[in-house]
Amino acid sequence: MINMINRTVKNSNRQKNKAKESVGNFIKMCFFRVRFFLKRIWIAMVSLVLIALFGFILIKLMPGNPVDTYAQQLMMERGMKYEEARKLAVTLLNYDPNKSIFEQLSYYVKSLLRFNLGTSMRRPDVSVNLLIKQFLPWTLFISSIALVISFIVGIFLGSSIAWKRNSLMEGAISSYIIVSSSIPDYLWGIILVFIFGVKFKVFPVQGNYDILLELEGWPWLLNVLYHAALPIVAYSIVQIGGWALAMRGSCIGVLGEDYIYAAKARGIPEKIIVKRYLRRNAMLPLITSLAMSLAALFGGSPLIETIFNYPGIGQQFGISIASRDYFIIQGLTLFMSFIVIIANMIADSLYSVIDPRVRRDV
Amino acid sequence: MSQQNRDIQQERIKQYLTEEKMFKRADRKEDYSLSRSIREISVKNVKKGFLAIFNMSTWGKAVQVIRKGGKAARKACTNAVKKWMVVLSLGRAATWKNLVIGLWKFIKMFFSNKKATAGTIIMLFFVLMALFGRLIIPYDPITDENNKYLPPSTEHLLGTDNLGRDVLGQLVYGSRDVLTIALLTSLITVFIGTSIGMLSGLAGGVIDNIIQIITNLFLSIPSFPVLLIFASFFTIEDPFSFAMVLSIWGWAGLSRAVRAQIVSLRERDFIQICKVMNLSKSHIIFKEMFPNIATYILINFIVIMRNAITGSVGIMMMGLADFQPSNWGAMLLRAKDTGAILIPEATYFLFAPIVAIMIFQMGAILLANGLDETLNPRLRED
Amino acid sequence: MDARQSGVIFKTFYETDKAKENIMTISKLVVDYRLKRYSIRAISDTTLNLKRGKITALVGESGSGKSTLASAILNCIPNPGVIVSGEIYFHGNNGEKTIEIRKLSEKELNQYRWRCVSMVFQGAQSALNPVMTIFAQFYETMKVHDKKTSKEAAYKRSCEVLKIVNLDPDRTLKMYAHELSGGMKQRVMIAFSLLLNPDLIILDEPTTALDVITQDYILNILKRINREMGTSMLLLTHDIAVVAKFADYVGVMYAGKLVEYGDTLAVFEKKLHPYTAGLINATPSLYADLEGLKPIGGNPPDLVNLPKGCVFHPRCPKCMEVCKNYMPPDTFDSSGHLVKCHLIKG
Repeated sequence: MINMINRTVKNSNRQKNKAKESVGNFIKMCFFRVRFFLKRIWIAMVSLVLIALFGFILIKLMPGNPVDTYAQQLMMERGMKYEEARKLAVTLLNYDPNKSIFEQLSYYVKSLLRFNLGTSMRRPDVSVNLLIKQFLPWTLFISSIALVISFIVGIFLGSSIAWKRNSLMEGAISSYIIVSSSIPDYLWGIILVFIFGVKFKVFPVQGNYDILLELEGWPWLLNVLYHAALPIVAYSIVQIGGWALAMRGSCIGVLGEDYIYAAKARGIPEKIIVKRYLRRNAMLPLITSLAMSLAALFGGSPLIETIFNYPGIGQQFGISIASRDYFIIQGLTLFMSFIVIIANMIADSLYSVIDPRVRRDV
Repeated sequence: MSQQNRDIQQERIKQYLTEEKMFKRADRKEDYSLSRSIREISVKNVKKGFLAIFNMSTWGKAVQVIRKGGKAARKACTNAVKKWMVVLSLGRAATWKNLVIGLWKFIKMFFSNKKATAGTIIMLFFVLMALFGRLIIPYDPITDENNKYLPPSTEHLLGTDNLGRDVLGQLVYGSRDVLTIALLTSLITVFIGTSIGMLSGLAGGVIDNIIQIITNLFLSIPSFPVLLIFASFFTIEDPFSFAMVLSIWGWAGLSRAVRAQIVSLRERDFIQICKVMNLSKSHIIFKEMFPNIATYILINFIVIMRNAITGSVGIMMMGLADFQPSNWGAMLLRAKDTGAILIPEATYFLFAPIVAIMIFQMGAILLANGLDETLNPRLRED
Repeated sequence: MDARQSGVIFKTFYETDKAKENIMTISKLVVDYRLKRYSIRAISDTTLNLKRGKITALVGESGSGKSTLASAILNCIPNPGVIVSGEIYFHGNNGEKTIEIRKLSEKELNQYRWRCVSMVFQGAQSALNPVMTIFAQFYETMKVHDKKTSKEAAYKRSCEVLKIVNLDPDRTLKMYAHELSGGMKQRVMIAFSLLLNPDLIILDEPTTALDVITQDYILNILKRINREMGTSMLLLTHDIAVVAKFADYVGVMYAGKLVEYGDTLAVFEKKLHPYTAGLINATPSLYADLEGLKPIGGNPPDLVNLPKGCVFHPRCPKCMEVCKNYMPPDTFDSSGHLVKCHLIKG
């Protein structure tokens, strides 16, 4: 009888301990997860601060004095006296070189925290935020479509080569990779414009849609896609090669692993091995690169957009560089850098969610 | 371990260490004038000195000095070559015979690889074109409006540009600048990247963390916009400053990769053994670790050359560095601005630099891949 | 779910008289690894019969060709490897017809693998896909062999096999490969191999990466499977103790050749081939003194340049003149004991 009681007591103790243990484990897991993300967020914050500082230093390095130049411009346009013009310039540009460095810095930081990234030097009614709102969506439109297409096609091509070596397809795809990486993407843009815009006149080479036609709804969308076709191809040609190469490298690594051999020994047909074993495992390291490329989407390529006269943020960047409009340059660069840092942080964190093996690494 | 074995081991360590001392003593016996002229060509005035490599007279001077210097100078040369063999991880050449054998094995392996051979041929072609092309195909900067956009003929093999100048002549003349920029950028980037990477990897601790954060910063900010910014700040007038601008942002990737390799090497057994054997730090760094990353650095050298050309042509096409109208990027800029895309006769002018760039890049890619395949044992299909 | 060979359609059959007592006959097999400049002969002219319902062990050092033999049986030798000549006959269970492995088409081969013959890999290798759960892999294997398998049926069968190896199915099936300990992983591999009820299981060094207690545990499970389900087993190992305890028949391989084969007791007692004698003498015993241990002198064979004549002659303490020049013939005993040595005649 006593034995039975002892046994039940022991059992219930064991159960209680198990419960306590599992709750404790759960809390520890949460703690680790939070610490994991906190570390990333901390690094991101430090980087953001450093970049903001860098932006400030950039302004200080600018040759010439923007306030004076703008004041003189105002004087000529509106015929004001120098003092008034200068005051107006200072208020419009949010920049007073006479104040001490600390005041300038605090003003700069305050305006950043208010998400005010600066105004143009030449046209004070145009702020960086306005430019971003107006032009960024178009850039994102073509960059994201290009990225998605390149990634999917590149992964498919890369994994097709890795399985069977020494076949026709491998030669063809390898040659494509080499040729496409030899010519920079903006030169591909020129070639495409030449072939499809001038010689064969199949695709439009200017702008994002035909303003003169005044379309709406579905026809407008089709027109937009029609105009976006060539820029997207220009972006994609080189990127497909890059992803295919990366995927092939990753596949070669995976092919050496034992579970591929074990799957073959189990009688699983080749197609399924390539699909589920090879591609899924080889894709994992590429997903971090994918997330990092997401950040590059926001910058666009100034050259491609200039060549195609596509109203995107890259084109604005190019224009501001050509006109030496330093405030816009600084604002846009800050914006792009912020996005890159945040995207990298998200990418790092996402990777731990996707790959079950990374979860324990804090 | 028995006393006998311990004695044998002591003998071996002593022998190894005396070999080291012999190398150092041989270096000190160098001919003074030889080292002086070498220094003239190298570090003190990098800009002038580096470009002097392309100048035939400096080579002539060097050959003269070696001839006059006699036996000591020749021995100094041999030792220098041997040192570089070790650094390039081609093996420790204890004798002249071993050196030749090692080199020959490498050459055989290298040229049996199709990619490497093709790449070398293309690069050699461009180097020769850069060095000697001007002697064969003259460049006539005189503009002649009447000869605008002539089609290819025996006189102008690739036609003429918008101002009547010979396209092929411009290509050949500009190749020297293009190659100089690429080479300079590579050298500077590799130098900065490797040093910072090695410093960061070997030092560890706080220095490592600080350098890591800075490197991350440099990597995060997208490079092309920053290059454009710097190009607009600093006026670019000659290849050297162009190379500096291009390398300011490029060293980050290399330094991170080098650091990763050094960190992984640091923990490996053979380095720990060196520490136990009490070998000096510089020995560990230069004779043990460096050969392991040397191949990686060499391949990166070529990759950076590729990126340098892409970047420089990009900057030139934005109109930010227009110092030589014969530079390929400048040719493209003029082609774009004068609407050569639309004018059918200007096709050759438009495509000549594009094709030249394409072939050069292909050569670089093939060479880099070929080198990787020969030097990386994992990729060999053997 | 019964997935015996009868459910599979094979096209060509052979008649042999050995079908009753053997489950597999490997006849004069030669396997080469063809590299760019030279070839390595991994298996040269090996003839081996695997008895039905018994545990056969193959002993040999690394590089003696054991793993290549296992891959050859499944006809999936990794790429530079090629079966140059020889036949492998699989005699199914109970009145089924014989098939020759090399002549199977791709589809038939995929059906043959895992249903007729399955394999348990070495524990150190990660033979499980890291991004799929255990159940997903079990289900996939079953689905590939029989498209009509439902998830419930698959789950039921997975629980059955996991219970045989003493694992808790509810917990194990949801786990990923990296969450299992070494012993658990090996047991999952054994369960995996039992999934489609094969007639022959090949075990490639199943316990080498484990500690002795787990080793004993797993070998007991294997012995139980062999007794209760009548599955034949081919055990590849270099641990003689394991062989002595569990195998019914032993084959000794050296440099790709089968140098001795027979009933375990007979081989251990008689030690006819000098290599076998050397192996057994090199194993420490509980009773004898340690100083009596004699290693086998010389170096492991260079498979690119095999010595002329008997492969073992550079290291053989009883080497004779004839051994250096002529390959020893296969000598069979009345009980089927095979020895390849000049010392044993007739």
